[in-house]
Amino acid sequence: MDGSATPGPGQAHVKSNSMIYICGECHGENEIKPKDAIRCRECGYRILYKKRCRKLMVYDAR
Amino acid sequence: MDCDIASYHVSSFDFLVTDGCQLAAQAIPAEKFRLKNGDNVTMKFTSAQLHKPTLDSGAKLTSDTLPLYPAECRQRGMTYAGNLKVNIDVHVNETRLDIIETILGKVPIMLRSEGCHLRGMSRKQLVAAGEEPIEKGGYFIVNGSEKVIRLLIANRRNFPIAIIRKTFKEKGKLFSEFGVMMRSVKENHTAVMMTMHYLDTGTMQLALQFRREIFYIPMMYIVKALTNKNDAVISAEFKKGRPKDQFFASCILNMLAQCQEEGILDQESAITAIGSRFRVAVSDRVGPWEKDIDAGRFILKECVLIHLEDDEEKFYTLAYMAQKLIALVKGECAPETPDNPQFQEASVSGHILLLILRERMENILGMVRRKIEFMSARQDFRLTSAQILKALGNHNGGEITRGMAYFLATGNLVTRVGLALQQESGFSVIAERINQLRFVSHFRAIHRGAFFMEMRTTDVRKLRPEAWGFICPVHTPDGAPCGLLNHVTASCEIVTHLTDNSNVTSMLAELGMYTQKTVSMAPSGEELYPVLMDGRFIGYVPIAKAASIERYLRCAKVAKDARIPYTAEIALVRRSTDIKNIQTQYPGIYILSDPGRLIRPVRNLALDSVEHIGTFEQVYLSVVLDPEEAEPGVTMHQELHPSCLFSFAGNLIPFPDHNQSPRNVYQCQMGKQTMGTAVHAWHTRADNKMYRLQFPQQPMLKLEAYEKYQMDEYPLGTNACVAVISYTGYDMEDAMTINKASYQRGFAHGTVIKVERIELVTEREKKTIFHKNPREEIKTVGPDGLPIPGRRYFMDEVYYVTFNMETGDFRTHKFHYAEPAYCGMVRIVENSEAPGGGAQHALIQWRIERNPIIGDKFASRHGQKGINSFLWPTESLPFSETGMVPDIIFNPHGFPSRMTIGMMIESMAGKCAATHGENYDASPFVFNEDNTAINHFGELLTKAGYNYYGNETFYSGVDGRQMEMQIFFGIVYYQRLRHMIADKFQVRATGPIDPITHQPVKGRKKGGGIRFGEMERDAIIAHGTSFVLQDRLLNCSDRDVAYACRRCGSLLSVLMSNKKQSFANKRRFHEENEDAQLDYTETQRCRTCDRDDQVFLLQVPRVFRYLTAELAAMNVKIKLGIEHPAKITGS
Repeated sequence: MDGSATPGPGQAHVKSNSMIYICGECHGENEIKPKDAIRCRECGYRILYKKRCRKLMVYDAR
Repeated sequence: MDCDIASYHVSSFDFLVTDGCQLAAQAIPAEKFRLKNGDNVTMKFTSAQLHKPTLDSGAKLTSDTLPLYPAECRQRGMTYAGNLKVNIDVHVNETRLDIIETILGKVPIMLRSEGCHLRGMSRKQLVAAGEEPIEKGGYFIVNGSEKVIRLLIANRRNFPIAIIRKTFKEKGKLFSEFGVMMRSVKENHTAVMMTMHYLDTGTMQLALQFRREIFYIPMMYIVKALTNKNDAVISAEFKKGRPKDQFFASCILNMLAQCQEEGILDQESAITAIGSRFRVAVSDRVGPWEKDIDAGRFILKECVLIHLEDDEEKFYTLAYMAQKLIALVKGECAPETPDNPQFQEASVSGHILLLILRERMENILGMVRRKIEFMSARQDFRLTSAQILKALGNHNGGEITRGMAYFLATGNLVTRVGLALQQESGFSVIAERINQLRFVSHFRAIHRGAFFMEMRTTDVRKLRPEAWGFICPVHTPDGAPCGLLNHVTASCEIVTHLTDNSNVTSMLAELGMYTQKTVSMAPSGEELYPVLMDGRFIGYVPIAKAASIERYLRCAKVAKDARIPYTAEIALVRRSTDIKNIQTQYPGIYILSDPGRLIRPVRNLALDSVEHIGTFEQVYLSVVLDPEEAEPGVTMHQELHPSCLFSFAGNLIPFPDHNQSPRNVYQCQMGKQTMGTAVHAWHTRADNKMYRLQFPQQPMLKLEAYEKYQMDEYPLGTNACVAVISYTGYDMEDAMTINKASYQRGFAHGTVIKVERIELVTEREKKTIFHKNPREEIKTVGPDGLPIPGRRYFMDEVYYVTFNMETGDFRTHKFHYAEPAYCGMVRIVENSEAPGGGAQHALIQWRIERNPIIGDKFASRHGQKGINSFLWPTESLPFSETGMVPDIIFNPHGFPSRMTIGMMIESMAGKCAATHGENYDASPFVFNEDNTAINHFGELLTKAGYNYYGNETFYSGVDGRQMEMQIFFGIVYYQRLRHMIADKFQVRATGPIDPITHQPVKGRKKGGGIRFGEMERDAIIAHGTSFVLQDRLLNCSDRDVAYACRRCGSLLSVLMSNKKQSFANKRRFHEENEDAQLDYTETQRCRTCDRDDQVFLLQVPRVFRYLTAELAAMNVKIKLGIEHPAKITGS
C-alpha cells in the first residue's frame, strides 16, 4: 500500500501508523512512525519529504 | 565590469576568518587584577580561530564533526555558525600558569566565505547542496532567515578633516567653530574619534574619546607627553610646516607658556598629569599596583591617534593637524564636510562583525575576572587552569553565540563601548528574494546612517559630484530614505584587507622626500609639501618635485610594484595659486591605503592598463570618457565603460539616456518589486513568501549588463505587443487593458509560494506531535496528520492534526486563508531544539494561483506602471493589417508628461528584434544626436516592411472600420509587479465590531472596514447630503438607542423600574391604599428624579454612551438638552 495516499473509506481499518518519506539527501525511502526521530535511515539526513499523493486530483479545468 | 555582487562582503568576512579574529584576540588588553591572597593575575587572549559550521546535536547517531550546510539551516530554522576557538594565556605573579584552549561559542558564518562549506564548490555540487549556482553569498543565515549587513557610510579613517561647525562653539567656553577631526582606526578596526579644537584665545584643545565619554585636554599637554623634546624644538617642529606664519608662531608660544605656568615641564610630568586626570575613567584597565604614569601611557595608547604605534609619529601627525587647523582658521584652507564622499568610507559586514566579536571576547574576559575574584574570596583558593575553565563556564549559549546571532537577527547593537559606530540599530536587513534584482540590491545598498534620517537639512541627501562612479545617481528610493539609502555602482569595490605599505616611506625617500631627520638638509627657502600616509606624517616633498613624485608613485601602483599596494590612493593636492580668493584643501601629498575605502577600476591611459582609483584621489584626477576629450598633460585616465556610473539595477534599464531621469529612478524601484524567478531550488527553500512568474521570457532588448549579470538565469518579465491607443475608455489614468486571449494563453501568469512553518515545540506543548486519529476519518489530512501534497485546500478545511502524547487528545487545525491554495510539498524536519522527539516540525509549501485579474499591477522597464483595468475580449480589440491584436493597450496620455522616450524606442526596437529575429542592444550612450536611435530602428523597421516609426493601420475591433489615425504598435518588455489586488482588496457589509464602542473594527485581516474619516465627513457635509452622513456615521456604525431623562438631562440615571418591590414596601402600599392594584408593569424610570414622566427613548451613538459612562467615572456629568424634533428650530 502506498503510505502517503489518503486512505480510502475501504482501507480505514489498516492500522499501520507508518508513512513513507523521501530523504532530502540520498532520496531513499524511509518508513517513519509518528514517534520516530526524523532521520533518514540510510544517511542520517534530517529533512524528509512527504510523498506526493497518488490519488487522481483533477480540478476545475476550464 | 563584471559585477561581483557581494565580493566585498565575502572578502571582508574572509579577512575576519583569516586574520581578523586573530588580530582582535591579540588586541584585547590583558585583564589585570589582584586576588585576595595577594597574587597578581594577568589574563590575555593569545589566539582565536573560527571553524566551519558543524552539527553537534546531542543525538548519538552523529559524530561531532558532521558538516552543517546552509540549506539545512534555512529549512530547519537554525543559525549557520561555526565554533570560535581561543587560547587564553594566564600569568600569575609574572610567571605563566597555563595556556587554556577553549571554545567560546558559535559565530555566524557568511555564506561563500572562507569559513563556509560552499566555498570553491562547482555548479553541480552547489545544486546538489540545494543552493543557487550563480549566487555569490555574502549573507548569513540566522534562525533560518537570510540576513545581510548593509554597508554603512562612516567618516574616512585616519584622515584629518577640517570642519567648520557651529555646534563646536557650544562645546565650552571660548571654543570656536573651527576644528580638525580625525577618526583613527587601528588594524583591527577599533576606532576612536579625536577632534582638535581651536579656541578664540589662540590655543588648541584636544577632545579625546574613551568609551563614549569625551574629555577635553589642552593640546600641548598631549604633545609634551608624547615627546621629550624641549620647548624650542617643539616650537620649531610645529612651525616647520608653516614657515612664514607669525600668527601660528605666537599661538605655539602661547600654548607652551601656558604649559610652563601649569607646571608641565617635561614628558614625565605631562604623562603623570594626564594619568592622574583620567585614572578614574580607566580604572578597570590599569592595575591597582600601577602608577599614574602608567594610566597616562594607557591614555596615550588608547585614545590619541591610535592608528599610530610610535609616539614620535603621533607627535608629528599632531603637528600637522595643528597646521591644518590654523590654515582653516585663517581661511587658507577650504572647509571639508563628512557629507562628501571624498571623506567617507564604508563599514563592511566583516569589519562590523569583527568589532562586535572583539568587544564580546573582551566582555568574556571581564566576566571571568569577576568570577575568579568572587571565587578567590574562599580561604583555600589557589588559581588553577581548572578554576579558570570553571569560571569560563559554558559560554555556548551566552555572550558570543547568542550575542552574535541576536545582532544579526535584529540588527540591534548591544554595546558598552560604543565601538565608534554611529547607530545602535538597523545594521542588518533580511535579504528578501522577491527576485534577483531585489536580492542583489541588498548587497549593493549603502546607507548613510539612521541618525541622518531625522535630520531636517537636505545636505546629506544631495548627490555630490565626488560620488561619480561610486554611487549610482538613479538607484535610490524616493520618499523618506531618498539620498540616504544609495547603491554603489556595478564596478565599485571596497578594500577589505590590510595592505603592506611599509616600504612606501623608503620609496619616497629615494624619490627625494625629506624625512623628519633629513628635512634640515633641505635648501633654505625651498617650499615643501607635507606627505601624509594613512594618517601618518612621513615627511616633506619639495613643491617642484611633487608632481613627478606623484606620477612615479602612480606608475609603481599601476605596475603592481610590491612596494605600493594597487588599491592605494595617491593624491597631490596643490596649493592655491591665489590664496586670498581661491581656497583649496590643505596642500600636500596624500597616500591612502586603509581598508574600507571605495575604489573603482578605470583605464590608465599613460600605461594602458587598469588602475583602481578611490574617492579621494578621483577629485584630483581627470577621467575622460572618450580619449579625444583628453587634455594633454593633465588627463591620465579614461572610464572603462560609459555606463560605469550606474548600479546593478540602473544598468538594466533599456535606453536610460532617453528617459527623463526620475523615470529611471522609479524603474530602479519597480524592478525590485517584479515577479520573476526568485530561486531555482524551490524544494530547499523555506521563505515565508515568494513570487513566481509562470512563463518568464528573456527580453527582446538586452543590455550589455544583462548578459554580464547572467540575468537570463532569473528572468523578470514577458514581451508584450503594446498598442499605444486610447481605445476602450478603460485605460484612463495609467490603467491598461489586457487582451483576454493573451491572458488565457498564459500571459503574466504567476503564483505566490508560501511556506508555513509549524513548530510544535515552541507552542509550550512539548509532548505534541503530528498525528491523525486513526479512528477518525478526515479526508483532507494524511495518516501522519499533515496535508496531502498536491491537494487543493479551501478555507476551513482541516489541514493538520496534532496529537498530545500526554493527554491523548487530537486537535485539528483549519486552513485559514480565504484564498484556496495547493499544497505544494510537505517536509518534516528534525527539531533543532528537541531532536528525536518525533514529527514536531513541519514545513508546508502552499502554492496560490495568481493569474492576472483586474487590479493587478504591471510596469514596463521605464517607470511606466499601470493597473490592469479589464481583460478585454480579443474579438473586440483593434487589429492591424496583418491581423495582429495587441496584448496590452497603453494610453497615449502616459507619454507627454513623463517623457519616457526610452519606452517608445524600446517599442520600435522590440518590433525590429521580433521581425528580424535578433536581439538588439539597448545599452545607454550608444546613440546620440548624430546617430539617433529612432533612425537606426526606423531603418530596420522599413527594411522589414513596416512604417519607419512603427505606426500601423488599425481596424476597430467593434465594427471593423479602419481607424483614421495610424497606431504606434511595437513590443515592450513588461514586468508583473508583486502588488496584487488579491492581497489588498477590502470590502465589508457587516462584520466584526469593537466590543466597547460597537463600531466596525479596522484592518483587512480581521474583515474590518475602511475608515470614513474627517475629510470624508467634510465632503459629505459640503454636499449637504445629510442622510448619507447619518447613514455612514450612525446607522452603519454604532447606532444605539438609550433612555434619557429630560428633566435631569442624564443618560445614565434612567433604569428599569423595580418590579419586584420589597415585601415591606408592598405591605406599606397595601396599607396606604387598600383597594388599589399593585402595578407590575415595567417602566423606564429616572432614579435621580424618581419619576418617569420625562423619560424618552433616544437614538445615540454607542460611543457616546460609553463616553458618558467614562466621564461619570471621573465625576463629570453630561447633561443633555432634549427636545422633540418638531420643536427644534434651526438657529
